[in-house]
Amino acid sequence: MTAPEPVGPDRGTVLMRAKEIVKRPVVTLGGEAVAQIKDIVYGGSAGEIIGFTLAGRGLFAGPRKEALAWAKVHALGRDALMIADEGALEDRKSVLAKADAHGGDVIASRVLTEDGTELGKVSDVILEVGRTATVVGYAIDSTEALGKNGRTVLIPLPHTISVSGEALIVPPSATDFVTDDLSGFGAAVHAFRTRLAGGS
Amino acid sequence: MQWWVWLIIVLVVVVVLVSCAAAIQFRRRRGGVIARGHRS
Repeated sequence: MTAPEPVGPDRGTVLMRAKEIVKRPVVTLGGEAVAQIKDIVYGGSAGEIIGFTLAGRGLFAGPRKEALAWAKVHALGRDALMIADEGALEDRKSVLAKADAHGGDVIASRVLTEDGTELGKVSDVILEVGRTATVVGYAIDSTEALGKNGRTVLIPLPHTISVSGEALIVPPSATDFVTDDLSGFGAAVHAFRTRLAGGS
Repeated sequence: MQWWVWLIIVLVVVVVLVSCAAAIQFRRRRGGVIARGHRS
């Protein structure tokens, strides 16, 4: 049997909130719902999504021993994550090993600038999903330092993400590209990264 | 003891057990976003 092509949505890329994806059902092309997404696992300085840990579908079902590598995802749609068949699920340890993932949950982690200003706590993670999926921003419950009256805002991330340690570190200039919602956030990410690269 | 005292005791025990089971199940199923090298 050949492995299915790693594909995301067919048309370009879309921005998604991680919390929209968590608990989404995992459905085979045969129409069988085999699991639901539990955790999204990402790693590497580029913030690429490695895969997903899974939970069972029943009321009393707990976490499953299998996980799903991003490479085995047929499509990540608005209502379900599609896989070719249940053979796409792999041993949880082998998927997590690809991420070298002795990591922790970034939700509720503090976001600090490189000059030591606390911007807020992560309430959600913004993903850019296409043929690959990468983390491009955080939704944060902002502090006074951000001047947004404690609102939840979206802050873009550079190409190279710093996630080691207990706090998440962003460049100070990221505060210039904060948006209130997903509309316009893709452009904000692009503009932020262009500035970091030395562009206009 | 009166029969209704036993009934209340049994009901309280059942409620506590169900609450514990629901809390454990919620924690087991709660999702997150895990980053390599991060300590939450």
